[in-house]
Amino acid sequence: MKEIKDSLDFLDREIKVKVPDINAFRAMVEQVEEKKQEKTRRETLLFLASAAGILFIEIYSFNRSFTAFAVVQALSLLCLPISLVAWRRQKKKQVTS
Amino acid sequence: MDEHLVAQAKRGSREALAQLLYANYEIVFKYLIKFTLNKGTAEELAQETMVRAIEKFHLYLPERSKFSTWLITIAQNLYMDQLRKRKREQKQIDEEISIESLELVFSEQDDTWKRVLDALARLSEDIRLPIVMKHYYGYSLEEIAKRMSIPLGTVKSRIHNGLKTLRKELEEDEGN
Repeated sequence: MKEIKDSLDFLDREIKVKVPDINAFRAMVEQVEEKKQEKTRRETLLFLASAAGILFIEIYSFNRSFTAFAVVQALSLLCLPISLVAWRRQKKKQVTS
Repeated sequence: MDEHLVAQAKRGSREALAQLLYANYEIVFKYLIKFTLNKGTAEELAQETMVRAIEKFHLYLPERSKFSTWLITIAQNLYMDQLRKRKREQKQIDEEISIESLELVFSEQDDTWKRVLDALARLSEDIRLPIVMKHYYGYSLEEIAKRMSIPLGTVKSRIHNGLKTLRKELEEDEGN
């Protein structure tokens, strides 16, 4: 056991590490952050498009028949807790991973 | 110094984040090289760790752990994922791991360490990993089982068989 520890300590002391230049890290951060921002922009756009779509459906169904409108409202109410549960599960997965 | 940079990076400073990663790269690489015993693999994984850290930096909680500890956790998870993927795809590593690739310079006094590293390199990764985790980093068997997602009994038998193989190889080497 001691030999394993000693040999890995030796490896730790003697191994030559090629640390990339600081500019490589700067470039990496820029690239990844840009990708993250792009993803956020797309998600925001998708959210806005969904919200507009839902609003359109609501207005259309209200104009066509009150029953249809009531059904759409009932469905939206059902979606809310399902979305909340899905969002919380996703958040929990992110934090524990 | 890390705490200061973490605080700045948390406020959105990309320069601070780059400095943090630059300052901790060596720690991550040295952690990985002890498991992989392969420079190329360790470098690839270190690079992936840096990218993953940037992606998930918003989830890092400074009050929970040091930045280097957090990075090492990411590195370890990436390495475990790689092992699992290789096993799933039933990919065999064709090239034998040779400690020559580490470019270490051994003096005559270091012969034992060279033989031990050689013998460790010849073990398969899923046997070497728990041995290094237990006998170098001091993880408990339960922690190893949890991190590797294998039963406790499997961890025990891998460590037992791995040490048996190592002892046999070192005895044979001494005999030669």
